[in-house]
Amino acid sequence: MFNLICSGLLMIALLSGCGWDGTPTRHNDLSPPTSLEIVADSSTIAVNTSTRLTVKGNYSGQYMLDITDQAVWESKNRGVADFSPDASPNQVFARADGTAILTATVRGVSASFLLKVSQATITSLTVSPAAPSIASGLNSQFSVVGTFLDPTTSNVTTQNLTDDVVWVSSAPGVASISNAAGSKGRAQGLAVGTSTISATFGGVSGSALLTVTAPVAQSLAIAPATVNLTVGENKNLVATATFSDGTTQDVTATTVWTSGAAAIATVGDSAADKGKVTAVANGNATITALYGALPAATATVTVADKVLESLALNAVTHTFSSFAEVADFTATANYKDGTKEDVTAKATWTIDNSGIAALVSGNPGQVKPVTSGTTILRATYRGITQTATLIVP
Amino acid sequence: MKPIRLILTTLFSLFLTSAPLWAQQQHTGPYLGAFVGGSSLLDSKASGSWGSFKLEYDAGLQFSAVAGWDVRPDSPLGEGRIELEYNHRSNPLDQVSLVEGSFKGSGNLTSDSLLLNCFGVFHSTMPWSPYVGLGIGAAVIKASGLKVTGQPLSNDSDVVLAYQLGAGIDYSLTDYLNLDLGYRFSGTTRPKFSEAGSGNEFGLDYYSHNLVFGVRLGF
Repeated sequence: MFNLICSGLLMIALLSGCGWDGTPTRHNDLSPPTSLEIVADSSTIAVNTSTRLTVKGNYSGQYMLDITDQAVWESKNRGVADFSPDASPNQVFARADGTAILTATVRGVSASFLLKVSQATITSLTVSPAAPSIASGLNSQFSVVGTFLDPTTSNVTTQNLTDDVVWVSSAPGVASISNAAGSKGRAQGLAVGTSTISATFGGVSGSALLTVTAPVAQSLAIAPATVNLTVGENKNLVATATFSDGTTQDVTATTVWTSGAAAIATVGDSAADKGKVTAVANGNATITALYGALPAATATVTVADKVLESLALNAVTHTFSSFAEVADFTATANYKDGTKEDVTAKATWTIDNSGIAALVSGNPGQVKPVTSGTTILRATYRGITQTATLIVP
Repeated sequence: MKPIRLILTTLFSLFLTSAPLWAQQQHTGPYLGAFVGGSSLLDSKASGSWGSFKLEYDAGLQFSAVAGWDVRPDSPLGEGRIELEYNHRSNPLDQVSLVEGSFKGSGNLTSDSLLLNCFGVFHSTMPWSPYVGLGIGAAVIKASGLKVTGQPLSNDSDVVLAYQLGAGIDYSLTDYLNLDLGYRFSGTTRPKFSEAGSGNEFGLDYYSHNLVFGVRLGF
């Protein structure tokens, strides 16, 4: 035995592979970049506005990687433009007109970026999207672009001011709008209705009309998700939809129900029996619920046979009156739950001495006499046998 | 079929066909032994909060010392050996594969283990005897100056559960002196190391194929 165990373990070793051959999911943040490249949404911004910078690492020319989250930022001209500890680390704020040298350092490698701050003044704001519609409970991100006029050069420029404006919802009960860093301009639908979303900067405003519609179903679930039944039993399943505003609704009556194995368990899909599962035969069946365009929800039904308590024949003794008579026996299964079932066709019938009486082929339970004598008829169903005495005069 | 698989399959076939004949005097009692050999560490998956990456190693050297007992032929366990083994192996880190590609690695992954081994020996009328067995114990896995393109990856160690499965051939020079050529498949539970710099923890697989040659002296 010892040697056998050793041999088995050895075979496992022989069949072992040659190591991991999967696909890495980790980026190479282990090696330092050989150089950095700083990119800004705008290389020239107006006083009192901000812009975000990103850093891409160049790894010996082999690949570029966004490593903004690893950068340490610094302004060499803090009076012109500077970073704020209260905002995102890569967001730079213009303080006064001029030029600021901004540096980013990642693992000892630095790069500089020249940011120009102009005296341009705001002339208009354009909020987009202009007229969005969202379901209650869902979000919509607004952005705003400002148009500036530089009085010294008469140049007209545009700049993304989403992070710089003050956002206001005219109907806070219908929709909220965020002014928090990191989520500025994000609206959430709270109730059905409309709200004017306004953005204000330097005394100039722009707006959009947000329409909040009724909540929409987001997911569907069946309860209970697993059901254990015995043959003949039934159970009502309930389909519940969860909506975008967090509410739930019983949608059993409007759900389309199907069974993946109707021979094992059926499910009702008519108005009278929506979601009603009926166990038919031993096995497993998957019940599927479909509601609108939502992903289907499923429940697993496990069906077990009824517990058979006893088997009964319609007669314990039969005396044939003539050789032409054919006797009809029936077998009845008595289940633990009190129900009965005629199992004549399902039972296995045998006769101890087929020289005295014989089964009629193709007709379960039918017996015909052969010659005079006495013998035993046996009916067996799911392991239980019941007998009857056959007497042929 | 790879050469190492061919050797192992041959060894296993020899075991299957060998008959338990006790035609010659077999040593029973204590013995000491020493082994040297080569170790091929399988490519390992390393994973942590930053994702998974692959470490590939060069073949390395190993040595071990054993102290054990030759079990008598009439033992209820069968004929074989029970021994305590100290093993040291070291494999240089060759490459590290990340999303962007493969990068040169350096440093060593070393293992110092103490195992309790049981081997079943199948003696024949020939001077050589095949054997198979297994061992279990503990190992200290050490990331000795692991680097990626010169940048520190880890310099840490961990204690883990270790095991090995083995087979080989004994060659009896005398009743007390045996040469041993064997194969060992070694594995451990996943050691966990902290990354240099960030301190982030990552775990890796540790499995190796090993070919050993040694001598045992009975007393």
